[in-house]
Amino acid sequence: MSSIESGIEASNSSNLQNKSSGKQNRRKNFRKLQGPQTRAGTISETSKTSLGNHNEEDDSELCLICAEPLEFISLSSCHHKTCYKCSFRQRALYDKKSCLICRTDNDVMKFTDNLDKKYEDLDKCFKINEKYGVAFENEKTHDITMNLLKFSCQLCDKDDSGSSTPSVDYGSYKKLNDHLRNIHKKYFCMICAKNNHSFPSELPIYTQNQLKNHQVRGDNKANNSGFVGHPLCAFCKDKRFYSDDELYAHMRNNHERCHICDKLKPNEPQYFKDYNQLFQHFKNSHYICTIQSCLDNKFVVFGDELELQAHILQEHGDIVKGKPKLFQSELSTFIATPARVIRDQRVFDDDLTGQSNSLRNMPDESPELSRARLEERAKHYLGNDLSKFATFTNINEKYEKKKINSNDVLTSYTSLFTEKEADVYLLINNLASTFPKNSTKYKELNAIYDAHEQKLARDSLPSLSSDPSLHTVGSAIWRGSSGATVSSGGSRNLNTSSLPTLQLRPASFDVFGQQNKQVKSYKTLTKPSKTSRPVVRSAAQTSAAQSEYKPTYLNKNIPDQQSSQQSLSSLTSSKSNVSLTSNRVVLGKGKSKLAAMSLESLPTPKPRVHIPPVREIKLPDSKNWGKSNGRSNDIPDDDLSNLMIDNSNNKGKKKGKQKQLLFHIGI
Amino acid sequence: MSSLKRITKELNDLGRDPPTSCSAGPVGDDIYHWQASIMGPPDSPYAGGVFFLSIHFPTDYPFKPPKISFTTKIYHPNINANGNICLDILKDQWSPALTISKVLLSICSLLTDANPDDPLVPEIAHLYKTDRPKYEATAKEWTKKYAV
Repeated sequence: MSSIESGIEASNSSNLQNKSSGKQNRRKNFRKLQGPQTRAGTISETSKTSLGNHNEEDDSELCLICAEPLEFISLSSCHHKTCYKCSFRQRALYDKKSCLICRTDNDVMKFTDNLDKKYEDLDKCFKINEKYGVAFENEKTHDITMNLLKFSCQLCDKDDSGSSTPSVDYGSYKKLNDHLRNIHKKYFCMICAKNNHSFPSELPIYTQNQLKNHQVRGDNKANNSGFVGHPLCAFCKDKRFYSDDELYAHMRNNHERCHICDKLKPNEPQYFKDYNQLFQHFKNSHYICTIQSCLDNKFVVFGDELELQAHILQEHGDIVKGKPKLFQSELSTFIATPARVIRDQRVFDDDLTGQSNSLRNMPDESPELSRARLEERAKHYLGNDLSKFATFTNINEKYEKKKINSNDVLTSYTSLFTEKEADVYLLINNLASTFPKNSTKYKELNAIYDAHEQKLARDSLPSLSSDPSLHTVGSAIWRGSSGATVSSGGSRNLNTSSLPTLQLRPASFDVFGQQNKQVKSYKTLTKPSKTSRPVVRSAAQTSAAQSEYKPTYLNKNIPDQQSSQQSLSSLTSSKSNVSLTSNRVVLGKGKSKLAAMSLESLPTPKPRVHIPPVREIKLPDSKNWGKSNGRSNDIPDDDLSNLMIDNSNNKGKKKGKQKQLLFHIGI
Repeated sequence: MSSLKRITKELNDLGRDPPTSCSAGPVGDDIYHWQASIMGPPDSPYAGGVFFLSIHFPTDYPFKPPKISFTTKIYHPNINANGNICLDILKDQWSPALTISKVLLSICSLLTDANPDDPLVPEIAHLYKTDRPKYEATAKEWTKKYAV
């Protein structure tokens, strides 16, 4: 707002200065007024150019508001000039006293037919209309202006072509419409009459068929007004509204809208006739709280089951207290689905955390939009220079017809776009997306763009990503493996995202190899596992704590194997027994207190679930590796069990990933 | 209808004297429905992006403001997921003397200087106030994703 007002102030002051100077100058200033003034940087430029074009058209004789030639003018104390119709429309029909140009409230406007007069010059006036705050300079202006408000019949007036003043004033639209219907068999559109802020003489008159057509489909004259009829309320029979705005207000006041659907699909509002219908919709499509107090309160409904459960636990904890287990178990079973639902709902989350990996893959724009974007960018870079733009389209056409190759495009772009801010590679990228994704043109252009992007990324490492640690890891490894992989566009990001997992592998491989040796002798077993620990988990845990975990874990395995897996060969079980005993010995020698503490972590259920499938593969290596991995997951799980649902979701995701990894290595 | 003449005049003025960093024109035959484009201002996180907007003129234009919304997704405290813009001159502060060209320039300056104290998307406004670098990083990322 402030920028606009400053713009307006600027124009005010320039007008004040002009009072003393001649007419010529005032015109120039009026022209200036039309130049964009909202942004400080552009004012000088645009006003210069507009002065350059000054003699093309004498805009100062046109009303700034309606672009009609000035005949009678309205002058304000803030020194703004508009035509009498616009000014009078604002005062009489919109009932506003503010200046059309600068929004200053003016008590009195002066209307005159002398275009060169200024506000101060008009000290005498023929008549003042108190109601609308208008002072008329002479009788002619007064009559013409006041006749605008008369409800006179356009058809009758046309008949007595001699007199310019309207014959009968019917006093209201209703009475005038009655006259039209009875005498001429014609009609006003009463919806327009109420809302259009037109003077009676401006309203079109329809026959009955035309009127119906106007209301249902819009005026099918060739005037392309964009008017497609007055919208109809789908629930109230035959109730039409002037525009979507009025219909929207009606829907908001008289009908119900589903706020859950609004969240899911903001562009497709779902309306219902009343709350009963809305309630049916809630029951069918969403998750409603069925507890009586909530039913009475209305609108207690949720988009997914998780939110409903959260609500029930929070609001009705006392009611469901008797059976908390039920909810607990349900919570754990539907974790998989809500994670998906939540992600679909809020694309934002993904972006806010900066985890979106698919930068290049996401937008599937239409080729038309891509082309529009390419052209707008080029026009902007070229400063709207039409001849240069023609050269630009020429280059593109040549490329399309394969007369030149992609590198030629790049060089000719570089020579054409000399502006400092012009980014040729963005143009290349835009040009690429005007071709189908699998075409060679798309690929070779994108290769150029990607090569450039990579170069940029290498030149300035820290600036590109919001998470610098991730980025450096990614790019470092990227450089290492770049020879082997990826020349096409989309795969680049996929690679960076997969890189961290690559790093994990060697670490786990180490553990793996060392644990193999466990079977043979336990001295080698314990030492390497200690050294390997820092590599495997960087988080939270001391090496002492880890040494407890290992034995407890293996302890757990024995009952597991014995109870559940009878199919295992005697060889493998005996091997594991050996390793177990060996671990026990180590522990006994080491810190017994810690070993005692570690017992508490025993009863976690998940490791039991995970281990057997690993064993079934009958690869002793992967078995041991899986154990160590599973263990590191279980510990945080215990700690976080009291935390929020969101966290447990994340845990679930992580686990899923690691499990997958496990299989890759095992196979 | 007075609006037709005024809109035609604005279109002519735009063609004769195009404003820097934005453009606008009718979509097809309907002169009451325009498409506009804005280049992301160089001194903002939207630099390099080309943003498209759709403009609908009401029949009582210019006494009523035009309806303008972004059709390109943009991460901004005053522009929501539907592309609706929270800008006073498009609502109660509208003046019939404003033109599409001026409004587009105002939107440009809104991109450079967001108004987090009157937000349309409170989450973004909060980030804008508390963690400006992160806001800028996200805005850049969105620009790259949707507007480049």
